[in-house]
Parts: sequence; structure tokens; C-alpha cells
Amino acid sequence: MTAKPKMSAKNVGVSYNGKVALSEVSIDFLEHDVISLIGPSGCGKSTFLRCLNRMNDTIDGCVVSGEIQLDNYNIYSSEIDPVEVRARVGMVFQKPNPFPKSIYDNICYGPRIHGMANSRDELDEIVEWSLTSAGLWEEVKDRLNEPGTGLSGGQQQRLCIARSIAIHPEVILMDEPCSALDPIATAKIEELLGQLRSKFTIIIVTHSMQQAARISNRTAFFHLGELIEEGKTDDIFTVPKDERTQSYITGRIG
Amino acid sequence: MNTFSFICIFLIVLSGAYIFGHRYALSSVKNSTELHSLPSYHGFYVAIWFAFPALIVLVFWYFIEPIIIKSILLESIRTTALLGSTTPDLLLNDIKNLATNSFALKSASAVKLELVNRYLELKSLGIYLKIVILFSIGMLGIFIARKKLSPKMRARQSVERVFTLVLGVCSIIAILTTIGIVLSLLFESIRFFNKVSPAEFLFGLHWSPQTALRSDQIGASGAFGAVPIFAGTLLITLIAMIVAIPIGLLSAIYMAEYASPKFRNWIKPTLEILAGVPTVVYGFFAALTVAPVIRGFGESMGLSVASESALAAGLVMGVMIIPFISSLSDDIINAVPQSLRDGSYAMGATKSETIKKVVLPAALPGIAGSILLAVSRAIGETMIVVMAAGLAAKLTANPLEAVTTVTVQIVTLLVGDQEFDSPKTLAAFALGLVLFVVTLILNIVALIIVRKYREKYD
Amino acid sequence: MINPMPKSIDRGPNLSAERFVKRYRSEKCFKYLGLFAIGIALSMLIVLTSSIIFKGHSAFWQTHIAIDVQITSEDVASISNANFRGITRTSIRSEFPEVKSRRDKKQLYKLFSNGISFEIKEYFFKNKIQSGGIYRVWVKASADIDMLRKGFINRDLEETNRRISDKQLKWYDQLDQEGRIEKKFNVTFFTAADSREPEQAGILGALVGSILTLFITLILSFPIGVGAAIYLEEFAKKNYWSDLIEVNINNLAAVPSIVFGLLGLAVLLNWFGMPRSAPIAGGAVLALMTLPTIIISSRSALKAVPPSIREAALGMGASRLQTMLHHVVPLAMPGMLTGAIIGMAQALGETAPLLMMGMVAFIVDVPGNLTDAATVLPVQIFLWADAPERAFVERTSAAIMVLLLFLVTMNLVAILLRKHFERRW
Repeated sequence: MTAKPKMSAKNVGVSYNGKVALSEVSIDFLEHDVISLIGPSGCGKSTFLRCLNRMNDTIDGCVVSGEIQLDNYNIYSSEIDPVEVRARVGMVFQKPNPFPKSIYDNICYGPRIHGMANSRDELDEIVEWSLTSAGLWEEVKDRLNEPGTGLSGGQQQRLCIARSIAIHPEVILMDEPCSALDPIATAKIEELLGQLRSKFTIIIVTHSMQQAARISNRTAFFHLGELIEEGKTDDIFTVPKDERTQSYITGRIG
Repeated sequence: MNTFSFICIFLIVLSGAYIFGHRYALSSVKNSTELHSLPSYHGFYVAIWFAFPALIVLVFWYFIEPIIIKSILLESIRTTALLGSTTPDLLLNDIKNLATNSFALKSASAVKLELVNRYLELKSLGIYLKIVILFSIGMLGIFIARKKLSPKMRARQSVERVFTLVLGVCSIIAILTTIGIVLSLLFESIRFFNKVSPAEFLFGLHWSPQTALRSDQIGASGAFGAVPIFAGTLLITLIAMIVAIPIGLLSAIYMAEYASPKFRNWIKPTLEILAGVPTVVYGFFAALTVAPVIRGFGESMGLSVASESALAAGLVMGVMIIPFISSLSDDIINAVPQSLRDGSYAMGATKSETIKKVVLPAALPGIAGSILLAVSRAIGETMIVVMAAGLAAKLTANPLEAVTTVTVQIVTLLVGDQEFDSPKTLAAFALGLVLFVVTLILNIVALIIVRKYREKYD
Repeated sequence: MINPMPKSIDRGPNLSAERFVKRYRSEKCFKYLGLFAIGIALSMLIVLTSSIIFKGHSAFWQTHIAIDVQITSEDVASISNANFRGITRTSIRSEFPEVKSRRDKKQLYKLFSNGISFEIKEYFFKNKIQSGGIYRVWVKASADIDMLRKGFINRDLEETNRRISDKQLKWYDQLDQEGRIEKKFNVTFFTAADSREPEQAGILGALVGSILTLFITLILSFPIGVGAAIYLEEFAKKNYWSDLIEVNINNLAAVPSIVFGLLGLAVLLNWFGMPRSAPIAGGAVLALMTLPTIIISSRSALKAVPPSIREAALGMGASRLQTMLHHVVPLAMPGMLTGAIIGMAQALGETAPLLMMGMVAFIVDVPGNLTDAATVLPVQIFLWADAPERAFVERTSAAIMVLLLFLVTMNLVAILLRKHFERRW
């Protein structure tokens, strides 16, 4: 029996000012999966990722076609508010972007605007839970009032992850979250992702095949704006069905 | 010979020197490629040797001539009986004024007439001497230059060195201006503080700058306590800021975040027109349109409103300052990186929430800097307050009363005929010093804040 | 494994409809607040300009009255010797033979401007009248009559509260019925210098003074400013001194204009002994004020020229100075000129420093050269704004309109210049 997918995309296409960046992408994401989107640079994987939480709406001249379902409804239908979508589908960016506020206020930002806490104590609890879940609590618990921008690169990225999970999203999108970090920080975040999947569905864009092999259980390969192949990570890397996938994996294209 | 013809002849000889150098260089070789530098540089070389020594002498002459004339005339004055009633400087001024005022000459005394004639003689002698010396030195320069001319001479290097020096001098003029401002303000202020103590000036509460024309005149006591003036400046600036900051900031937010690029391209320059209107026009508007409206409004509500209320001047000044805040803040808000906004949108925040909670706090240092610059502009503004604010130095917080500001007092104290030495005129310089220092500090602090903010994001 | 969230806070975001309504209401409010602020600022601009135009447009018309001048052939033969004052008064009185008393006669003459005898003389002189007779000449009415014609004087007030007596009103109505009162274009406004009488006052003196002053400002500030910009951009080493100069220039650009006036007073007038009130002194002060602006705009014009041009020139063996003068500066010149025009526009509107330099006296002659006493247009506006006569209010506004027209033109020229020469490297 196939489980009902958490999110599914049907014939999604994206064009910027008339120039097609993505065409006819259909894919399902099951709950609690960690899915990697891989492919050479410029293949459209980040563009696709940004469709999943309607971040492409903020770009002028960007037109999205097709359907994307979250649970039961199409997030691109005109009755659905992108603000609501983004509260349920969180995002972590390539370059860590903590707000120029204290660590505490960074985490509280989401809960405050979404009315998730009734008192200061509840906010404290949310902050502690988020930072603990992101593996950052021990390192910053004594300096919650210091600016978030004062942390190291890896810590900042974990802060951004903590910030995202503080509002209880159901799906977390990650756009090459480790590409700006050193290997030690990368390892810490990969370890964190392993723990996060128990609670969230994670869709991660990565340019490193090794990372995809390490952390995800499913993988999708994009090339020149098309979804070429998608399946279990092991299958994709050992017995790819399409020869383009084969070429990418063996390093002939990329 | 008047200045214009002098300049013409100077320029003609200058061109002659250039042509001479040019021709000489070409004629001294068979083939022009044997010259090190282009003939034009040889020409410039000769021209420079003509002009520069002459100009240097001219500058010296300009400073020395008045001194020499003064000492010669003083000699003649000593022999006359006029010295008893007045000082030599005043007498000298008198003579100089009489020399240009043919009307008054008819009724001047014989002794004075003689002095005036002497003065005019000296002046015309000076002019003849000047011309002779200048041209002789110029000719000497040309002669020396000719001696130095040769095909191998590095004329271009020398000419370029001189030219670069001239450019360097141009850039020093900015420093000279600042030094000039500081020194002139300091000098006169020190002379003022010799007559009125700094403590009384900075902390005194009574401003009534009278000085005696004669030492025995009644009403000779002048009070120079500037606190009411500072208070007046602060009151009007405060009113202006209350108008300008909300309007400027909200306009900037709309332009930076909500407006379409086409709208912004039109609105931003249009708002900047407000800053381009001459302040005298604002003053007229404030005095003739705004003040009566405020007065009528206030009186219909039963309040007593002065005809030159601080409110009228402050409101109009606020309107003038709006573009300072809106344009600068618009640039600053645009400089906030898009990644911060993306982070906020990705968490499901609306646009206004993002602006209020993420963008504005991030832009705050820069906006604070722009506000400081606007305050500095408001404090230094003159014409609006001269025309719409009052002269009475009242210490009050009521915007409906008339107050006076630092700039108004500087203008009133100096416009008109006064001696240059009385405490009244010197007080203007002391006020000017305070104004300069305060605006300087505000500008520097604003600059530091904005620079620190830029460093964070670039 | 992640610890599950404590039940007490395991709520998830509040995505209820009512919260969304609240959030979007505040979003709309915020957005319209911004638009409202822009609207207020724009409406202030509109109120300012329309109030000036409203007050000033009537100044371009001056009420004239037609007089039938009786002149003899002897007077016509020697115009310069004729007593036009007498002729004028006689001609006026012949229209109103019933006016006898001295006081009444004075009131009658007051219907007209007090300079009309010169106007009539001019008429005969210009038109080369050869024979005596009666000629109809249009002369300027007095300022009060002008105000009456333009509707600024309320006829219903008590006579003692009016500037025009009942008798004068009667004569005015009589002349009007005969069709001898007309408004004509106010040429005097543009051809005369300042005057105590509003109907004889014009802005020519101030305009010429402004032009002379700006001329001095331009020839002093443009070469020095461009020279300084070239030096700072190209030749100055990046050390303590160049930083100091740069901070200095930025500061000078923000110093209040009245401080420059004090500088001019103390140094230029007192120490150097320049002639007070002269365009050369005023122009020098304005040049010092405009210098920072020109330096800053010239520097950015020079910076905009790509280094590849410099490298190409240097690569051909040109010296640094030759590179600058032959290649970079010509390419940057449009930007520099734009900055200069904008600087001149700012200088045109400056008043405060010129007040300190003494250009505030009452000047009745149009200045002839750079050392004559003169005034400038903004100062003229300032002086007229203080004048008590009602007629000066409209003239002040009209002068402001002329000033604004100059400024708008200069700025438009600068913008067109910039757009025309804008290059995309």
C-alpha cells in the first residue's frame, strides 16, 4: 500500500520573463522522507524547491504553472494564501541569514507573528526546545541575548534551522544548506538532519552526491530544467535507469 | 588703465610667450622628431616662466601695497591737526570712503581734501609701478626660459610638474576654507569672550544685545545670555522634526518596499523638489500664508497666537526637510540585504510584518544617521526663520509664541552698519562658532553611524 | 531523536481565519499610511506652488490710465527743457475741472504713479512727436488704484479704513466709464530696477546682479573644483592627507550657509578688503560654498569612466596628465557639467550668506560691472517681502515665480544633459 504523499507536484513548470527554467516536473514526497534533489548547476533544482513554498512569488516576472499539493489542497490555488503555506513549509537558505537581533529574538520571531505563545515562559520553552533540537542549546544557552550574527557560520545555520522548526512546519526545505560551511560544521548539520527526519519531511537541494548518499533515503536527479529520474537513493546511485543520470554520477557531466 | 584692459594685455603677452617658445623649439631643429617634447610644451614652458613669477609678485604686491600706503599716509596725517579727535584707522577709512564719494568731497574740509588727493596719487602711482614691475619680471622670465630651451630639454616633464602642482593647490583650497572658517570664527569669538564671559554667554538666560555708542549712554548694559536663543532653535527644530520624520520615513518605506519601479522613479525626484526650492520662498510662504492660517485657526479656538509663531516656522521647515529623510532612508532601506527579507517571508510573515520587525530594525542605524543630518540642516537654516520667526529672545516651550533662533540673531546683529568691534557684532561670531561646532558634531556622528551600518552589510 | 515538544507549547502556528484578517488589516493600514505620507508631501508642494502662483500672477499686469496730454509746439521742439511735470498736472486737471482745492488736487494726482511725468516725456521722445496738440498717453496708475482694479481693496469699508478716499473712487469710476482704465502687461517689472513705489519697481537690477554674481561663482568654482577632483582622483596617494581632505570636503558640503557668510564677512570683506555689496565678493563666497558640491560630483563623474580607457592611453605611452586631460576628462565632462549646473542652481537660490556680504542695500541702478553695488534675486525677494505696501506682495510672488522658472530650467537642462550623454559602459 502506498502511503499518501505529504506533498506532490504535478506538471510544474517555471519561466522567468518568458525564458523557461523548469518544465513538466511531477514528483511525490512522502512524510518523514529525506529527499535530495541533485543535478549540475543551473538545472533548476533550486527553482523547483522555491516553488514548494511559493517563494518564487517574490520574484518579479516569474510564472509558475502546474499544481503542487500539500496534504489535500493545491497551494497555488487562488484561495490559498502564500503566508499560510510558508508557515507550514519552512525554508533554510544557502547562506545563513540570521536576523540582526538577539539569538532569543531570532527564534521567537516566528512564534510571535503566528501567536503561538501566550506568555514569556512559553516563549522560553519554545526557544529552549528549538535550540536543543537544532543541537545548539548547550553552546548558546548562556548568551541568548547576544546578536545572532555574532555566531560562527555553522552555528548561524543551526540557528536558522532552529528558527524554522520553532513554528512547527510540516515540511522543511533546504537549499544547499552546507555549501557555505566548513566540513566540521557540515558534519554537525548532517547529523542534525538525521534526527530531524523523525518529526519533519525534509527536501534538500545539494550539489554534493556524497552528501545525498549520506543523508537521504530518496533522491531526484534534475538536468536542464527537467526531472530525469527519481527513486530510492541506493537505486539511483547504483542502478540508475537513465543514461544521463549515469553520466552525472560518474562525473561525465556536471 | 583699468583691470579689464590689464588682463587683456597680460593674456596677449602670455600667448606671445607661448608662440615664441613654440616657434623657437621648432626652428632649432631640422626635424621635429628630434625634440624631446612636443613644441607646444616648449611654448607652455616659456609661458609659465612669464606668468608665474609675475603672479607671485602680484600676490605679494596685493598684500603689501595697502600697508605701504597706510604708513605713508600716516606720516602725512601726523603733520596735520586732525589726529586729535579720532583714531588713525578711522581717519584712514574716512579718507578711503571720501575718495570714492564725489558727492561728499564737495563739502569736505581742506585738510581732508589734501589727504584724499595724496591717497589718490599714491594709488595711481601704485598702479603704474605694479604694471611696470610685473611686465619687467615677466620679460625676465621669458629671457631665462629662452636660455634654458634646447631640443633635448624635458619640457613636458617640467610643464606637467607645474600643472600637477596647480591641481594639488586646487584641492588644498577646501582645507584652506575650513581653516579660514575656524580661524575667523575663533578670532572674533575670542575677542567677544574678552568682553563677555563664556559662562554668561552659554548659560545666561537674558538676551538683549545693546551696546553703548558712547560710554555714558543710558541703556548701555547689554545682556548676552544665549540660552533663550538655543531654546528657540531647539523648539523650532523639534517642530520641524515632528513633521518631517513620520512623513519622510513612511514615504521612504512605501517607495522602497511597496511602490512599483515606475512610481518610485517619478516620486523620488518629485519629493526632492521640496529640497530644491530656495529657502527664501519657504520663508515668504511661511510668513504670508501659513502664519495667518495658524493664527486664524488658533484664535477661533480661543488661543492666543503670535503672528510669528514658532509653529509656522517649524511646520514649513519640516516640509523642507522631508526629502532629506525620505531620500536617504529610501537608499538605506534598499540597502538591507534581500536575504533577510527572504528569511522572514519563508517563515510565513506578511510584508508589513517583515518591514516592521526585520527590515526597519536592520536599517535603524542608517535611518538614525539620516535624521541627524536632517537635524543639522534644520539648525543651520536661516531664511525661513528670519522671515517667519521672531526677534524676541523668549524662553518658552509654547509653539504658539514667537521665539528667535541662532541664525536669526546672527543676521540681525550683522546686517546694517555697525563697527566691527562692538560686542554686538562679535556676539554674532560667537553664535556662529556654536552653530558651526554643533552642526559639525552632528555631521560627524551621522557619518560614523552610517559608515558602521554600511560596513555591516557590504 | 528529537525530544517531542512539551505538550504545553505543542500548538503549531495559529492559522485561523480571524488572525489572518487581523494581520492583513494591519498590512493594508501600513501600506496606505505610506501612500498617505507621500500624498501629504506632494500636496504641500502643490499648496506651495499654487499659493505663489495665485498671489503672483496678477503682478504681470499693471493698471494704466489714459491721459489726454496737451502740449505746445515750443515744448515739442525742445523736449529736454520742457516742464513735463507742469504739463502733466495741467492735463490731468483739465479732465476734472471741478477739482479746485489744494487737498483735492493732491488726491487727484495720487490716482497716478508719481513717475508719470517721466513716462510722458519718454513717450514724446520715443515717438518723435513733431507738432503740438493733444495726445492720448497711457500712464501707470498708482499702486493703490492698481490694487483697487485687481480687486484687493474693499469698496464697502469705511472711508477712514480704506487707502482710497470716496472722492478718488468717484474719479476712478468716471475714468473707468470713459474706458480710460486698462490693465496692460507689466513691462516695468522686467525692465526696471528696485524702487520705493511698487508700480515702478522691477527685478532687472536683481537679475543682472544675480547673473554677474553667478558668473563669478562659475569661473571661480568650476576650474578649481574640477582641478581638485582630478588631483584627488588621479594623483593623490591614499594616505592620511587625502583622507583628511576628503572628510573636509564632505563636511564643508554640510556646513550651514550662514557660516560661509561669516567667513566672507571676516576674511573677504575685512581682511582682503573686497568691495562690499559687489558681485565679485558675493560670487567669491558662493564659489566657496559651491566648491564642495562640484568636487564631489566631478569625482563621481571621473570614477564612472572605466579604467580600461586609462589603461589603453597609458599603454600607448601617454603620461598620466595626458591621459587625464585628453581622455578621461572629456568623457567625464558631461557629468561634471551636470554637477556644475546643479551647483549653480543651488547658488542662485542662496540668500543668507549674501545678506552678510552686504548685498542687501536698496539699489536703484542696474549694476554695470562686477564691482558696483548690486543685489541678487533672492535678496530682492527678501527685501520686498518686508515691504508694507500690498502691491509688493504680488510683486514678491511674481519675482519668486521668475526665480523658480530659472531654477526649473537649469535643473531640466542638467537632467537632459545627463540623459543625453548617459553612456552604458
